[in-house]
Amino acid sequence: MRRFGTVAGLALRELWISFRLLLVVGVLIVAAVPSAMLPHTTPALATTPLESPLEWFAIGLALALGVVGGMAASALSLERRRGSAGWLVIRAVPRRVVLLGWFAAFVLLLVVGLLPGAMLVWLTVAAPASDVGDAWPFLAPVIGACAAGAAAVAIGLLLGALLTPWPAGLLTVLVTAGLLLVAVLGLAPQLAAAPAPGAGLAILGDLPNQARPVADALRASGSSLVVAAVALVLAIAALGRADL
Amino acid sequence: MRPAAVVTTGLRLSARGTRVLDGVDLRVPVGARLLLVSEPDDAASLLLRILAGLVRPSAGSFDLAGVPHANDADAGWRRRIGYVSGERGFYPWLSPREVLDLAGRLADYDRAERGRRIDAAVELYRLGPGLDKPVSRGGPALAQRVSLAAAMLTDPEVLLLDDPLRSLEPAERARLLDVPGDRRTVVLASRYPASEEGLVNEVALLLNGRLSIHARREDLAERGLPLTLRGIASLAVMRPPAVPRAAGA
Repeated sequence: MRRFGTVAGLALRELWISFRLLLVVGVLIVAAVPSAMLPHTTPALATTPLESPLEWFAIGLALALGVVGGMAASALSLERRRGSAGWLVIRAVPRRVVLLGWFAAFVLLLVVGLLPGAMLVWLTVAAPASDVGDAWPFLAPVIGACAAGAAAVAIGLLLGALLTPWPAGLLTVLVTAGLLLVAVLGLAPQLAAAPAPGAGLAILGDLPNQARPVADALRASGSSLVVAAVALVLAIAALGRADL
Repeated sequence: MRPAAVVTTGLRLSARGTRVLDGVDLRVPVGARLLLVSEPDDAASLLLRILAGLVRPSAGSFDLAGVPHANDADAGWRRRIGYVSGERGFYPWLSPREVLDLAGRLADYDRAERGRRIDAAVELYRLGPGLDKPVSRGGPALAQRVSLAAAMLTDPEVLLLDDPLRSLEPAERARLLDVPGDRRTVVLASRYPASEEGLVNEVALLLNGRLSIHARREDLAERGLPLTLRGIASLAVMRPPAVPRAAGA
């Protein structure tokens, strides 16, 4: 446990010094800006399929979570390539602890980035809306988005254990952001309905029309965490065989 | 017959369809200072990376410090092994003191023990100037000193050196690589064997992935051969008497 804390601390410090921490948190906050800043009564918006500012928020989050996953992928791959992971492994830090330390660091940043963004959207969009007066129907999909982000990070770490930094990062962004966008835009209904992992974001984007947003979002959160766990197990196996 | 500190049995490694190591059986006795050279020259480096647990071999096994390599979480065993390569490895924004402290913490030393060992390392490796500044500000020479100091912090029984300290001035490099300890075993992979004169008492050559020869340094001198790749290869052709075999691990 002590080694896990050490690795997570080193990962956070590495992200801070390389400005990637600001990028992770920043991209999650920026994802909330369009929906908070653009008045949803704008006629131009009303004529598009993106009628709801919450849908803008969900789309922004889908892209942001994909970017965060991609950064996790390139970060782990970079750790392997430049020998930082090897330096720790030589000193009795198990490979799985290196991986879980980075996972914890990114998930912590996910929470830190999502909180202000979600609060911004809640205060500017969701709370004033009469049909979304209760906080839980909004908070539950945000938790679902956070869980989907954890899954994106885990998938990124899996690819980061297998590929070089750029391919790992790009592939993660394409896969995770692509799947989440498909769910949010409703292009594949089975990906947008609970308990699909992307359903949390889809529910967030279409919140006023949801019958059971809290229950469905929590189910989606659970399946996202299952995906994250499976990806982490595979990533541990992959890193266990990787050259450091 | 001396016990063996490093024993490899049938080590094989394939990379991109090429067999880099092809059944390497090597026994390095306790206290030996072995110069490991290879042709192609990355095979020796890869063998050390396997021994350090950074690369998984395709087949074969090895023992280090009398223990079959398996459990990478065993801190007690891990601190008996040191590994230094030309790469820095640790984060460049860490200061030398932080690197040493981190190495000490990962070796499970308490604060007092860490402080004592760090003070000794700072003096031996002349890390005083810039001790609390990022290693990146000190250039590659400082980074390599810190790498060696961190590896030596645990006073390892087996020290694996992969072409280390190339950024240092030769005399200073020789001083630092002449590590003390009669029972400490050093395996030094080098692309420039002549520069290791005075640091080794055994030589081994990996030729096309196979152990071509493992001999005493004196065997080269007795035949008037230089400590070079060509000299060691010539010795392999002459088939000198084998190094006294170490006992199994």
